[in-house]
Amino acid sequence: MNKRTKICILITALLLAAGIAGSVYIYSHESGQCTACIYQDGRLIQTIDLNDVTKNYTFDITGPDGASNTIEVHQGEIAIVAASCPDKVCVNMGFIKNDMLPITCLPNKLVIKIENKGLLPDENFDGLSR
Amino acid sequence: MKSIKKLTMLALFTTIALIIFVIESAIPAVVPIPGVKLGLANIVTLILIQNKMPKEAAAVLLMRIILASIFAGQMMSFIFSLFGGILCWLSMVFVHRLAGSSRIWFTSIIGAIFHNIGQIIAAVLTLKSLNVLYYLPFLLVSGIITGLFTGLCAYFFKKYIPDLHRFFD
Repeated sequence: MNKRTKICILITALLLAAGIAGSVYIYSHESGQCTACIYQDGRLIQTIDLNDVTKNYTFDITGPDGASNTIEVHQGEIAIVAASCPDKVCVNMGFIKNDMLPITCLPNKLVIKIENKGLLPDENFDGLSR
Repeated sequence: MKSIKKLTMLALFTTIALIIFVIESAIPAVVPIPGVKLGLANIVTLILIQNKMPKEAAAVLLMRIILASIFAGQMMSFIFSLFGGILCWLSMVFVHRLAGSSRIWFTSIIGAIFHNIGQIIAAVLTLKSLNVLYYLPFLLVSGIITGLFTGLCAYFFKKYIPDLHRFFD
């Protein structure tokens, strides 16, 4: 094994370690805040206080071109359980309960994330999510 | 004569890449993270880059992305593939010069990672949200695994593929 191969393996190992460390950190992160924010095409359309949920329920969000996502809310967690998109990645993500990984439905331009912010119609958006 | 041969070969490579892409898109997603996929169509790009034909690789890649988007019928997937494809190609051409043909697996890994980075950039732009950046570590791990796999495929395919320069120069 020559020097270049060693350097290549070293870089790969470092990237892999960084990726695994980052994934574990993001996956295991706990957040005290439990406000689910639903964005459609980058616009905040609905907020739900997940701590306040006593009974599980579902509702639909529809968009242009017949796009539709069924969202299920439990105490402290939220998921997309059915969707009109072809790939169903959003459904397969299951429930989220921390503020790191959002549920993203790219075909329907829908993003659900748990954030540290007040409920609508509070106008205190942060600059990034607007 | 040469240019007709070249045109035919490039069309053939585009067709192969397209077929691999269509078959791969029929495989259901194993991991519930958007953007995780094998990227087998990249084998064609890798083989062309390995044969010192980066420009031809770019042409085949671009045609494959355009045609695949027409077949998939989604404008959205075109933007994502395009961002991923361009970054992937740039990084692979650059890394291949440093790493060389015998370490094509490394070129492939870097290409896969940059493909994912390109897709995340496209996601940030279309979703107007920086939160998708949190997918990066997951896509880094998956890019290394899938990149290694496609890279090794290209490496072992090499001996079955005739010297392409016969058709191109």
